[in-house]
Amino acid sequence: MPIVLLGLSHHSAPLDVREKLTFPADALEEALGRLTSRDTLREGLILSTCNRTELLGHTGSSGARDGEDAMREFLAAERGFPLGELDRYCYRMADREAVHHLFRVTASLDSMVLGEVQILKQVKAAHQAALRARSIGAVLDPLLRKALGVAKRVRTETGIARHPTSISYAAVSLARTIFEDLSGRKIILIGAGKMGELAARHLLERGIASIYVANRSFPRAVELARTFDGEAVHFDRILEVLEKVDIAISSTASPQPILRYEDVVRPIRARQNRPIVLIDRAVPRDVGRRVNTIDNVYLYDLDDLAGVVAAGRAEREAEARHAEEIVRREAEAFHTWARTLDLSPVIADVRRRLDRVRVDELERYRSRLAGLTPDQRKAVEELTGSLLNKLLHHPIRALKGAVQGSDVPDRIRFFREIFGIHDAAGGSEPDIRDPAAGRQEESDDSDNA
Amino acid sequence: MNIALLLLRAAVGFYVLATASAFVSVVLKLRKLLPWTPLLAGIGFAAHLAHLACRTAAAGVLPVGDTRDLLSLLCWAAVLVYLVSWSRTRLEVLGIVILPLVLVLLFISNILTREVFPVSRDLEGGLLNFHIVVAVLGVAALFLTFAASVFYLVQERGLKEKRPGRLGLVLPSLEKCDTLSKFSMMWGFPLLTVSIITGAIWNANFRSHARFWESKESFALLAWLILGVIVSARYLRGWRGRKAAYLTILAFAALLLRMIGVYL
Repeated sequence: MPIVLLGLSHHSAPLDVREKLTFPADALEEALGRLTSRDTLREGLILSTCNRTELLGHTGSSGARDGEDAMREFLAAERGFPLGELDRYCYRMADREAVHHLFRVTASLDSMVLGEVQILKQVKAAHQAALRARSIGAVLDPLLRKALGVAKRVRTETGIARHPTSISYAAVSLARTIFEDLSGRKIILIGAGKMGELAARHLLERGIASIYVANRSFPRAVELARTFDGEAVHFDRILEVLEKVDIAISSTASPQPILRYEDVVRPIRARQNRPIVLIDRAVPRDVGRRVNTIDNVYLYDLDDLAGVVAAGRAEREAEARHAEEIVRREAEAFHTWARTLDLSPVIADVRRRLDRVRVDELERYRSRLAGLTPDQRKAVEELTGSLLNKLLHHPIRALKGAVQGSDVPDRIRFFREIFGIHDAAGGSEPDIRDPAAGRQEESDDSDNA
Repeated sequence: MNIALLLLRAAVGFYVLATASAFVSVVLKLRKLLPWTPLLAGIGFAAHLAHLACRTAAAGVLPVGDTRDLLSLLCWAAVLVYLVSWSRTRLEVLGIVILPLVLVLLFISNILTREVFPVSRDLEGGLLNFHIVVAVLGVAALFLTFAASVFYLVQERGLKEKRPGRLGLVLPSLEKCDTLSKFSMMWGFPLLTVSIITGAIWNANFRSHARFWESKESFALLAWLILGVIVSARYLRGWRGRKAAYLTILAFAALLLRMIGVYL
């Protein structure tokens, strides 16, 4: 089946190498065209992110080695990187190992930040680009679909994605522990600090309904509110707004606390026990420590958030063990399936060849069978056909059994030899660009098995 | 060995398995096991229902005449409440509080009465049966209130101590806990009110001497008063949160003690 992979990532190459070997998204489709125009590669895919560049290929009848070399030359030529130096940073994998690696990458088990979401989107984008460039087909298309499916399975079945990966994202995770549904919630962003803004963006992505922005400089508040599609609030009206919002994110440069216990205790009482999350991203801090002692107030400063992320990291690592197991099993299953793809053309060839023998023989006996009624003639046709199927049943089963072992190419060669089919006659291999062709062959023979 | 007893044992066996699956999935984080909890509890529930049907058929009256039968009925209703709330919210994890409590009560009822009593017949009377069934349903609804309040306290403590991680994402959100507790109390409290009124009427009419102010009765009344305060404060002032959860648990404990002590 040779599936080959050549790549480099944050594990194998420093940033100044990685940045030279990335593919810009808008040039991807053309590059894919050039990649698969090579004889050795029937299908190809390029995954290029800030942490990795990986080329995936299906080599058809050529060996894995040739495919790897072709991809290596392609990468060097494409990005103008010295070929000799490339080998120092790249890893190469084939078949089972390559499938397993792709599944791990997509499930974010190989990421710099374990369990991050971004990589799933990036693999999806790479898949889409390859589909548009028509550079993947019967082998890599199902492989990519499976990889995305496995990644989703990992996300739902393990807790790997449930824990925050960054301090800005910790606010989302906190909010979800408190509120059942984030849509329809209101937040206030106090101060125009970059970090506060980032946290607010994460929350907005989760469907927060409205955002108020307060800043000492009102024009700046208006400006920022416009980018969020929110409402600017005068700095001295913060306490009023505090009665209405569910989450407050503060990141001002004020040297003194701007929300002291004495100030907030009344507006929070007025909330009638509705919970409120206060995220204090400022250093020095914006919110007085004592505020956390008020019922239904959950105050998190920078260190608290860092603690949440650190605890989350430990949890993600624990969950990664379940995830690795899922990925390993899925990769194994895919590998077994992919191997059956190699068999279908062989089986089709054998069937075709033996059927020709059958038809020729019937032709030879034509005169002797001339006295038969049409019914009897039909019976002879059926008899010979079913005899053929019966005789082929065990050999084909034995061949399929070989899929589990490691000597598949040898077995295929042996099988061809026994039935006198030569590789030259093997031009009937299904066109790999057409996924339907491969499946057709497969279902053909399972009907008779 | 009679069939009723066999069925009850089967029910207890499945409740034990359901409880174990809930604990294992939460403690060892084997999320895949969690869907087994309601399934196993459901099988136990069916066996329990068959047991109650056998007892009723054999006696010709609803078996509520002694502690054992009464608690058994209560536990059955509590599992019913669990299954219904699971089917509406998909929160299998509620079982981690409700099911162990069910097991403890079944265990206690077994200790309190060693032998299988024939169904006591001296409590016949439509009003009394009504009083008991309504009380059982009311307390069963409060099992859910109790579970939600426990979850609320665990979540709230984690959040205040800045450690919302681990259990935080397995348990429902604070808000969900609050909604569940409010919702279940809205069922439990009116039922309890009805049962207390019918109980008082029955007491006044059928008993030779009023026992209304005996300690057991006052437990129920105390619990009812606490719940009344929580319910009205919730509706009039939007009161909720940690203190409400503590009070709810207190009221629930008082009610359970009352249930256990009915015939002692």
